[in-house]
Amino acid sequence: MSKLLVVDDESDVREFAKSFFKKRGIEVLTASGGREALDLIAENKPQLVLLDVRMEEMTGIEVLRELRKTDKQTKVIMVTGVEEEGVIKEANALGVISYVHKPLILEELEKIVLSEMGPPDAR
Amino acid sequence: MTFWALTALINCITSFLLGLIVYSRNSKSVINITYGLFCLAGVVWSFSYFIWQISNNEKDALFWCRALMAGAIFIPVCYLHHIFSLLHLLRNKRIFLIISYSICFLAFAINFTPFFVSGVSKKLYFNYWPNPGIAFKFFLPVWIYFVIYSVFIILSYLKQSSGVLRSQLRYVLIGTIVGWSGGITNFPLWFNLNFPPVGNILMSMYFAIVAYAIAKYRLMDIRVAFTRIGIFLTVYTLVLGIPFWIGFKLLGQGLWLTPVALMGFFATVGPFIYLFLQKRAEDQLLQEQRRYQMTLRQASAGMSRIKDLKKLLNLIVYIVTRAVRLDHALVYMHDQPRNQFILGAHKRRNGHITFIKTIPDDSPLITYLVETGAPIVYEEIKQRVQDYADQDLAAVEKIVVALEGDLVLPILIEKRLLAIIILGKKESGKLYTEDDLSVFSILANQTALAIENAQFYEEMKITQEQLFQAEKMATIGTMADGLSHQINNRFHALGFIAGDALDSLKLSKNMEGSDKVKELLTDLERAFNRVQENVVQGGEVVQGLLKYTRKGEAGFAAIDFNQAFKSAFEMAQFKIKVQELKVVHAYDPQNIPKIKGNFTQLQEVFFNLIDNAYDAMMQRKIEKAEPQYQPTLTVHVAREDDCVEIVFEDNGMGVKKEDVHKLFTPFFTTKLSSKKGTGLGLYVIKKIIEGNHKGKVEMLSDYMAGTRMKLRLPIAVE
Repeated sequence: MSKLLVVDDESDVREFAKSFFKKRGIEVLTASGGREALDLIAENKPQLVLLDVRMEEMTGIEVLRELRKTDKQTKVIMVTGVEEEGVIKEANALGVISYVHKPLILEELEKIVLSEMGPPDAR
Repeated sequence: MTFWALTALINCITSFLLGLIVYSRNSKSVINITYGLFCLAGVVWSFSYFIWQISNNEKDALFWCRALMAGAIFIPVCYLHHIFSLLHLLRNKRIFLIISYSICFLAFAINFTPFFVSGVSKKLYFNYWPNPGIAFKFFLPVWIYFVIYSVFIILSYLKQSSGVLRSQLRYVLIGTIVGWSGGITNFPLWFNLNFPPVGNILMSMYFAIVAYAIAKYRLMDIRVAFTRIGIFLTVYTLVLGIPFWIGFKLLGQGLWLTPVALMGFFATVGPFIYLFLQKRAEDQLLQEQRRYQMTLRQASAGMSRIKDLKKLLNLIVYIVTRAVRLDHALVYMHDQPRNQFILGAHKRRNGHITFIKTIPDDSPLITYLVETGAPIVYEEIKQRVQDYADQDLAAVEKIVVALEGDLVLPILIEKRLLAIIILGKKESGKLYTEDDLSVFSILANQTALAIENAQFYEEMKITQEQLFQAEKMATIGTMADGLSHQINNRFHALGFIAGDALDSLKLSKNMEGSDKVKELLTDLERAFNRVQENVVQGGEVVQGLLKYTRKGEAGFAAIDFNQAFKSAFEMAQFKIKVQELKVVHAYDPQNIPKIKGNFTQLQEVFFNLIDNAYDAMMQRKIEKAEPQYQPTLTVHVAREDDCVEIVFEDNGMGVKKEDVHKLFTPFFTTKLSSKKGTGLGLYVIKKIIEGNHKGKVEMLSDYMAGTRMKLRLPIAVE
């Protein structure tokens, strides 16, 4: 089963993203902070990570840095609220698939996710 | 030269000079003319009298005696003529005057015959005193009749008259009695009554008093005048007279030290005694006035502590009405933007009348007050208009009447008229005197300072308000980052929730269910779609705000005007109603040079310009209420030498010439409410364009027609 990790410090975002993608046969893991996210990635090896840039504990870019020290493969999409050029440059350098801007329409997010993750496994 | 000759000479000089002065003051007024005539008669009389007194033979003495009678014959009738003119009785008394003059001319014709003055002989200590002829004995009663009649008529009119005329008549009456008493002392000796003409010198005094009464409109309180003269004469007679008399006596005995010492002593002490006595006497006489003058002075002192303008004005009218015991008092304050004076405060003792609310700046009253800088006493200008037929003054008089003012006090700071205080009639009905006016001028000065004070205070409050607003805005700016992040997150969460709900609803379409349920689900679907749309919009708003508030890069780059303008305009949409505005781009967007500048800063400049233009146009829309008015912002961009010239042209309210340079100072705004403008916009624009970008800003404006903001910026060299 395809696994998607949603990293965001907003509980609503995690909950509804989970509900949405679950209907499409994707297993959704959630993390509310950077530490938790890194652990989950190491354990579960999700196909795709939706990574929020601005978070309390650790910023998205810090998570990415940490991740990329050991893991160059895991696909990451940055979810950013504000275009911060420095962040974008660094994210590019570290390797991300793309970045999407908040606020998001789930349908559009769906398109991106599905195209990256390939067809869902049959239930 | 005898004493008598001297008195005659003095009389001559006095009457000549005074007649000349009064006549030249106003040669068109019949009052002044008749006074001149009267003086002329007096000159003839007194000059001849003088020559007569120094004659040393009978033939000359007789001739000059007759000459002086020629003058004397006409004196009373000319005097009556003058009194009639003063009392405006000329028309009524025409016939009387004609008859009187005829009698006098008849007497004049007979004058040089022995029937009038038969001859001269020695009487008392005079060598050549005239003897009366037959005609003289008939003429004298008529002469006396004229004299008595003149006194009588003055008395009867005195009771009926008011204002300036009343004051004048009082003086004239005293003068008349003094003068005629003096003149009459000439006659006893004609009939061999051994009474010398001691009163001769009084004629001079008479001329002086009456001249004063006519020429000056603002007369001293008569009691004060005579008290001062009385004290002066008393003191100086004693102070100088006694020592001099003693001096003469002692000099005769060869001693000079004592008299000189005495004179010196009294001369030094004299002035002090005089002032002391004067003050005492006046304090007694003018008790009432001193009382209210003191109240007014105290009030003046307390006024500058009041900061509230409204309170201050009310206090002024209250104090003045109470202290001076007036009918009413009004204060008009200058309203700079509207070029008029507005009624600020008023108080009326009894009754209610609506007062005039505004006086325009170009009113003759205002012009007159600014020109003269002096108070207007209604009674005086009324008199002046009558006497001089001055049309300009008449216009002023009309306004003063409309304002029901008895006294109009200008409140000036340097040449600027800040306010006008209108005082009604004194309850006592008395006129405003010189003393009153000097107290009022102190009051006016204090008022001017107090008003300026209060105005500064109010302006300061407004400036402080604006400062607070500006600070608040700045604080919000610093919070914008965190705020927008929070708001964005809300939208993001809402988006996900709505998205998921929509998803579920789509899936439910295939499920079984009643029509009602299906309908409900369709409604829900529509609702959540709307939520999603709002989420997107919300995101855009936040984006725009963030772009604007972010500090942005400090550096310069080659900026595309179109982008910067578009960005600014998008921002503007959140503040103004863009649908009311028509924007015309009077240039080819593809064909304009790039600007060497900072994007964020230029965006801010354009945003401010759009905002200002919009406000100006809305103001015009409201104030002029033109049905076909279309607010239009025209933008020009062109290359000018090595600069980019950008013009933002609007058809709004425009700005007055004198306000243009003020607008670039921080916190000055002509926007109607401090919420609409912090007053910093143009100041910031100037700093950015001229300070940072080394360009130029220029504002060209036609009041009520529109404004053109011209910017010159350097071209980006690529």
